[in-house]
Amino acid sequence: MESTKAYIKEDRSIYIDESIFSDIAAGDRDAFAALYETCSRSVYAFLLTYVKNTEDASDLMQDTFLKIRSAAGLYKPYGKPMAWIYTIARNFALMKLRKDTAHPQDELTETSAVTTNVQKQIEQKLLIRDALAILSEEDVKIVVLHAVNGMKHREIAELMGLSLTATLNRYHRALKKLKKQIGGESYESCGTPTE
Amino acid sequence: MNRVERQLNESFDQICPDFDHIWETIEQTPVAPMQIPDSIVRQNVPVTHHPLSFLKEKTSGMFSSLRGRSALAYALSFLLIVSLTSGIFINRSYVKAESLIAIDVNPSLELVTNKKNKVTKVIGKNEDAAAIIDDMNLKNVDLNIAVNALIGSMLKHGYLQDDENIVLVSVSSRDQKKAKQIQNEIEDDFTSSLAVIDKEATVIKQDIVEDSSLSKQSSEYGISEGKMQFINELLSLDPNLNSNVLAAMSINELANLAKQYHMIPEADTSLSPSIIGTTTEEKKDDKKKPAAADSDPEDSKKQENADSVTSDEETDDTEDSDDEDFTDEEDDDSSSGKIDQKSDTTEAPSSPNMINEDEEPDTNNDQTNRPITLD
Repeated sequence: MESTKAYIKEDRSIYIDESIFSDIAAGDRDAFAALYETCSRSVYAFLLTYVKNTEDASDLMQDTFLKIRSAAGLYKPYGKPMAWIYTIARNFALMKLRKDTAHPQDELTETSAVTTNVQKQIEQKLLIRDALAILSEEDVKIVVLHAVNGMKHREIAELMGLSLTATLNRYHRALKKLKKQIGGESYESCGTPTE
Repeated sequence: MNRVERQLNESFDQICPDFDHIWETIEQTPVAPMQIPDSIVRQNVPVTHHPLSFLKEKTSGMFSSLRGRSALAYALSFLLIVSLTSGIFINRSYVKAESLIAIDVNPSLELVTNKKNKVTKVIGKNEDAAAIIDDMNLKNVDLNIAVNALIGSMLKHGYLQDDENIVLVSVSSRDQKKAKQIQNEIEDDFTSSLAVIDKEATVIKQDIVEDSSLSKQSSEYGISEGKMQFINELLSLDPNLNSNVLAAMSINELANLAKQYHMIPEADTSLSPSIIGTTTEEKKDDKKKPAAADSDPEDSKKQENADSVTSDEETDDTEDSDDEDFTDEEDDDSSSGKIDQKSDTTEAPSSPNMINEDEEPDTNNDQTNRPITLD
């Protein structure tokens, strides 16, 4: 669906007209759908850098958008709609991490173990898995926000409270590390999980 | 997009969930519209503190009307003129104040600057800071010069001598962009000053959200407003923490605690492991000897992680072109600075090692050696 208030630009960055939140608060289903379609992938990627788990990232993404719909009427326009969305996502992720720290997961049931194993197979030769493993938490966020979410370095610097120089440096260093990793392993670009 | 970025995207696409399926669930889930923002959605828009900003705000009562507010403005102007002509002292530095900058290492100090970024006041919040400031007259000095002078004094007095040093920089300013700029410049000052002596600084930056109680609280504890705000955030995450104990902690210790609560990111793996989750070697009575005599100012050796962009890095791979990121953008979708909204949780992590209200405040030096861990 096309929307003029929320869309992904050609350079993969996200445009959101802040008045979309008023529309959502007023019950405009299409407005909310447009926001979801535009932002879901980015929010999911952002959450993944925190929880490092696809299931949790999916659940938290759902929570995030439900929260956005509930709180849309309270949004105060200040020129940074994505920052608000990422903040909500981040807060949910931190709550989840704190919960997991306080109450470590119980033993997996057989069903969830199978699911996890399948996921592990899928992630076996994925560069994203290595990115999460070999890079620091901050560097993962910087790389994902730029390479996957299409955010500009300046926006990332503002979001993460870093200087532009630091963000650029860290991004390039992280890519170098990943490039070395690519050199050492082969990565599937598509297809089914392999043994 | 270069090869690595392309592969990252392709790789990421393989682990994406079924967004349509999730959408169906979201669509079907009823939600009640919120009436009051909770800690998850609360937006942290700094409050402006122009001395006369209250005139712009809606008020009830006799000053709610434009006529009433105008009358008040005239009355205040008259009072000001009378005060000036009758020689009554007016705190000119307050009227001229633009930004408040708090720097916490172990010394805790605050600088007040005017619109031209000149220091109008330096306040030492503890004895260590008083020693740092000593007899330096920093009034009307450019902020960057003043900060560098203070860093030099800290080094001379034996601070910032660990391989990794954590500094808290907090800024309150009417201009949010300026606040960010000041934070980043001070971060660069610390990073580059310590790089010269082969040390590293991790700078935690935060905006000070002014409220009437913060100044009073910080004075009661004898710490800066920045440190007080940091402690308040920790307390909001875990009310069982003891504020007296936290106020006595060094920034290193507070930062380690904050990492455990995921209030700040985990340490970069490139940092020295000694800084992660361990005790600090800083003690109030046990300062390390300055290493200034041993350092060679001509030494041009750079830290691997120093924040300096070199042409080699940029041109190493011709596919790494992000030139478009350096141009000014017209669209207004830039993200905010530090994400400083914290979520409320009543599920405080429990651990026998957690500081709680029942423990006696341990203000002696042994406290700095007690590891704080979460099980």
